[in-house]
Amino acid sequence: MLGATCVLSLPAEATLGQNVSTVGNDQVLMHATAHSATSQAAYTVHLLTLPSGTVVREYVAPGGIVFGVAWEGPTLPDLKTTLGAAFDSYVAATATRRGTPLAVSNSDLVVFSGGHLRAFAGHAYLPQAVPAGVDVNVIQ
Amino acid sequence: MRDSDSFLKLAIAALLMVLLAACGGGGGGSSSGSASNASAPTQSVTNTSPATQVLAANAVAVTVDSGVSGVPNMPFVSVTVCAPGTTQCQTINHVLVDTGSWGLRVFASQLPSSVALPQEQDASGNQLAECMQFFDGYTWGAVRIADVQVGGEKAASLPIQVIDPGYSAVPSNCSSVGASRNTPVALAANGVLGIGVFKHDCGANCAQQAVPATYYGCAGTTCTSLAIA
Repeated sequence: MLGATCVLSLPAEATLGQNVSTVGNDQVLMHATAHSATSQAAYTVHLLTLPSGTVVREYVAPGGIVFGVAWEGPTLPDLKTTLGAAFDSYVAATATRRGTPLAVSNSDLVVFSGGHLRAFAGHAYLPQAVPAGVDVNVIQ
Repeated sequence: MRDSDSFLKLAIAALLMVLLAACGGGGGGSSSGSASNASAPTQSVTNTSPATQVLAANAVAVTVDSGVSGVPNMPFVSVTVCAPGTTQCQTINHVLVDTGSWGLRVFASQLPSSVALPQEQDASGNQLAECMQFFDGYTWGAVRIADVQVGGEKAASLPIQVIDPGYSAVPSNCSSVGASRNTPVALAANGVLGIGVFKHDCGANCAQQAVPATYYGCAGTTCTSLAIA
């Protein structure tokens, strides 16, 4: 259900919940100036640096699914691209302003977005897709 | 808005001597509305009506209440926006005081046609618009020039954002940063008075190159990202 099979036919966007191959699409769509990857035992982190100086980290499980994303920097990243299918859920959940950074927190999706211009930081993950044994606090 | 030194002086002077005119009953999200003064606080907070309170010209009363959408404990001021060099003005209440943004943002829908504000242009003559990013969404609209009065002091010809989802067309890379805050209900305020202190609101990189979802030059329904130094 997490979309790995539709990557080949619909590669246009979407990262969270999609295959690692979509990280490259994010790099193009957000005009990233740098892209590096660091492997841990249970996951790989792709780091994209955007022209504004904002960095986006994408956490990829051994099976290739992006199970978490995080951002930090002076401007927000393109969250529609970064969050993929979760973006609409995030926007719907924040349609009514509550002034709290924890925008979504349920068994399928967690989105935390905080800060202000010049100093944003946030993260999102799919609890069902986090590899066994991985602490979700690494997603930041 | 960036590079508005006179605005900063005005805003800082006005807010240095902030007086809490009303301390709203906190929390719970209850719809207590105008009854927020009903319970007498034990702290030495002066609950005096702004009408009877004598403020220095460089001070402004701050009201803390649940605003226009029932979000508790938001600090608000009233701001008067005038067409530059005229007495055509509109006073807007419940403008959120925000230490994390820069400059004034009000809604086009709350400005009468008599308060006609010319649009800001850059050195190349581009008609400027802004996508303002907040952690929980964005506001979109033209950058326009206004005389702005806060408390007893007025600053002439400041660039402000006039929030208007109908201005030109919202760029897709703007709406891709989150939820729309382009109505007073969605913003939970009738505007934002940002009292941040930096010269460049979206960072140094933003002044040197076009960064998506910040500043734009617009012609018709086409808006292109611009660097604004």
